Amino acid sequence: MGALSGGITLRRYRVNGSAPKDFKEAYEKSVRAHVLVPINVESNEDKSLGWSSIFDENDLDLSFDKFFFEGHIMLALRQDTLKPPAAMVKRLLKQRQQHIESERGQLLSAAALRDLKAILVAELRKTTPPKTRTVDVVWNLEEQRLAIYSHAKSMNEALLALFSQTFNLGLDIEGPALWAKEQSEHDSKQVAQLKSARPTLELLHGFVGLRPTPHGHEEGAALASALRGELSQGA
Amino acid sequence: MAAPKKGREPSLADQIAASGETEISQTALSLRDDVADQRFLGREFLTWLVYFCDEDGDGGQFAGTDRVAPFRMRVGERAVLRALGDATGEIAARGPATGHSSDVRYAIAGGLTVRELDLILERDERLWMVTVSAEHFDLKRVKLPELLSEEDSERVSERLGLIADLDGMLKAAFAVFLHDRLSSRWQKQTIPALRDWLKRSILEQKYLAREA
Repeated sequence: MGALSGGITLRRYRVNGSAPKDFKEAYEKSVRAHVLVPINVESNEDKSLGWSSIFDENDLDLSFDKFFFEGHIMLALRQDTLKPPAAMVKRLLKQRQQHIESERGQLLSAAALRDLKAILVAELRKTTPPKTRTVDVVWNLEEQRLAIYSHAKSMNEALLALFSQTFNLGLDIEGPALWAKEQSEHDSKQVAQLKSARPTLELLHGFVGLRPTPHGHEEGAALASALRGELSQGA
Repeated sequence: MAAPKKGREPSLADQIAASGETEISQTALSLRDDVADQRFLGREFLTWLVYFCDEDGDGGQFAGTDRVAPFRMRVGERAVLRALGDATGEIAARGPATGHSSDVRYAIAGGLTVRELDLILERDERLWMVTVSAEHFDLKRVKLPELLSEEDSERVSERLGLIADLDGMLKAAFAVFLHDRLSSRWQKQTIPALRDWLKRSILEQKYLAREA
């Protein structure tokens, strides 16, 4: 599922700023510096995040022509997680504990159990394959818009951080407010109207007289009052 | 403040009441956010689309602009509506004619607004299908028209182009809504027309229920 094939789920961002004139060299260097680094099984780290090729998640050797396509920068945001399954750790720990305790003829202390678990997890890290998750990211340089093919909060937050580190540019999430601002910015009258716009009461409280409303009468009156107060502030 | 019962610590509500601060309802808090982020534009747009795409409205026909060819929009098989704040009510309507659903119209009449909507866009005999969310205009379950290219690189280019076309059509529809929304026409014509449209549906439903 993503930019190139399959079903599409996407969220859009506005890129704050444009690419520099010599972006080809600068971006190649920066993308290569922020490519995913595979997890070292000898270490304690359990997560790694970085860029990979949008065409092949295992391709981490990213030259410019591998991620620039017809005015778009196209990358995959890849996250690897290495964590032995908890149920397996628990089961093996219990087996080892019983074996050691029967050999020694005495119970293991809490501290010894913790050490045993750490040893077991380190062993399992060498045989457990990391889980890989990739999300496509497509940046239209001319329009200064970016699409991430995921709504997942964790991946969107990861994108904001990694994009900023890689390209030294910020991202603002798109949505109705940004669209309205862009569509009205060349018309000063519309800009003023947009600034003073407030929610439509009928689309908040319901159409009085047609049917009972979810807000009680008092709350409806309070909403109307709050909107009138906002209107006078915004005008 | 009433004295707490013997042996009982004052509750948070007791403490707020004692402080003289006014308790703010969840609805008021949601309204505050709704206004601050102009989020209301998203849910009002999707709600307006249900009306606009109906045959009694404009039939979902959008004229072209210099960037977007004319297209038609229809409501798809799913709509999620919700009231603001802590008021009860979330409705998920599913079916082949969700836009005509009396449940959906009854919900709108009661102050629920559309938060997610399935849409079908048609242009030059090609179809796009999408679910749009009101909050950030996130897209999901997007189905593009069949690709015509054969070469891999051309297919990538065509696919990106079709996604851009979809965005262009959604923005064009939003522009039509916004133009109406920000003008005096909204309160003077559109909301009364929306009211009449809802009223007809509710009265029809009552008539059918009586006849049954």
